[in-house]
Amino acid sequence: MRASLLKMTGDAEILDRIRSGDEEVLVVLYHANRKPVLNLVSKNSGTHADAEDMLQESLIVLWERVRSGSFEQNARLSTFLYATARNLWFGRLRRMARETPRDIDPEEHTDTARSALEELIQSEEAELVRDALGRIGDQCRKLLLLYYWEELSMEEIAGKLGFANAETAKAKKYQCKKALEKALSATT
Amino acid sequence: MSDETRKHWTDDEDLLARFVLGRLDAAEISALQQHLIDCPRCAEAVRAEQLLAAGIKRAGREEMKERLATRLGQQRSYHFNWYQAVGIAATIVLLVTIAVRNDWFSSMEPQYAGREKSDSMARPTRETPVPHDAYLPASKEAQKPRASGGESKTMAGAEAKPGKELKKSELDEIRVVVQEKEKRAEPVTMALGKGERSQPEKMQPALMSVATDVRELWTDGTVIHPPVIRFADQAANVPADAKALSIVEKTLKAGFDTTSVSVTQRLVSALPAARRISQKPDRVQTLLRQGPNGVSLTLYSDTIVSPQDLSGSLLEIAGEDSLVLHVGRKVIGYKTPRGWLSRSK
Repeated sequence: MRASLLKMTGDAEILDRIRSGDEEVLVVLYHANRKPVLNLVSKNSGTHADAEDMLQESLIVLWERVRSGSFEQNARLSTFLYATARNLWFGRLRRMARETPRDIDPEEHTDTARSALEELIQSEEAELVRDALGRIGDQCRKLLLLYYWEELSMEEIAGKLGFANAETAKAKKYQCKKALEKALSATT
Repeated sequence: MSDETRKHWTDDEDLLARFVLGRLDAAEISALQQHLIDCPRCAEAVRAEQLLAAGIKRAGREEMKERLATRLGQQRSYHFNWYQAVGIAATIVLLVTIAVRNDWFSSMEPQYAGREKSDSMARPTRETPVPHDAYLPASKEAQKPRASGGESKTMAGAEAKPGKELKKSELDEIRVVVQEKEKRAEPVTMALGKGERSQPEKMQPALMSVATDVRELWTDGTVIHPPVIRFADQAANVPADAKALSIVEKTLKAGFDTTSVSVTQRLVSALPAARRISQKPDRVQTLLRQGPNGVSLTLYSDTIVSPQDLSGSLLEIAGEDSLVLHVGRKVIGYKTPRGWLSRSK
């Protein structure tokens, strides 16, 4: 039933629903793509939970790209989701060094180590921002999420949050950003 | 005009955000990037904006993932899953079949001697007990068909009539059940077992109980530079009772039962403020945590340990109060409160 629903819906309609912010469409995509991703991950040292995690991450990648306008459809959505889940899973496997021989000489891998450091620093810093975001009030949190994550325009944000116009939303965004910076400096 | 007072494009909040979010065309981006080469202050402003954007996006992703998980959870609760239903039905049928075959529904008390109550799966269910050697899984005795000597015996569901020799398949069945039973019954006790967790007064003063089943210990690991203990020489240098163990995705089979152990690294900036001020050279602040899901070591260090090194690290339990972690070419020693690592009697 879900497959037929998906066929009826079609990729174009799904993309439209993502563009309009309909998160329910991700559930349809999840069910339609669950089996191949489950097979892929379970055949490559992963668990059922790993597979679900990879599929959810892939759906969010799709969402983010479509919403930001950077998604280019060169294949079916199912192909995109499978390829993304595959890349994410193999990337995680590499990080967990399941594919790497254990007696490897670390000095031969200085480049990997450097990128791992950068990755770690970025991850820690992003975590600090996330924590600070929780301390600047609900309206500011929502506004900054709508701007940076949902990538909505100031007009759209004004409509969603009930501001008089885009200029008001812009002024509020400035205040919220300063509040976030202040919360961050209190942390570090 | 000095650099401080000069107007820079990064002072335009809106332009800065659009640059970081990639909402400008290639020509604009190229022109703005050119300016960054000669303006370190501007490059720093771009970096700060990138950091904010990355953190906010991360929060957005996490929140969306939580919402998606909630939606999927709700769906699962009202979608009838035929595969699960068939599986459950098959399990019930199998259990009933086994129960009937093993006479589990009989109201008669088992009459057997010399066996512990926990042997319920392997015990004779009726009549006279089976001689002990019939349960020895690897013994030649157990492989021989046994004459009942005129006594009626029932073993693991295989009923033997008086005078009838047990068939090989019946003996095999007994052996399998006994092996299973012995696996379950194998006593594995340890100092940090459930019994001790329930008695907080026995804890060492340095320990901090953070939840019913979780213990945390902040400790400074001392970096022992090679060649004091070299990775390759570990067998010659560690005490006889120490065991070298692979960590990630493996189980640790000494001291901690079969608990899994994980090693993670975080930057010093992630340390709680109170711990951050007590940094010392050649020390690695480490949070050692033991809980029902295993043991975890979180190393706080700005000197990166690559994922390959973390996953290939080894942990040794040295005596009752020391741990030695081999990670990459580094060897880090930890002193732990007595009793944390040794097996209880």
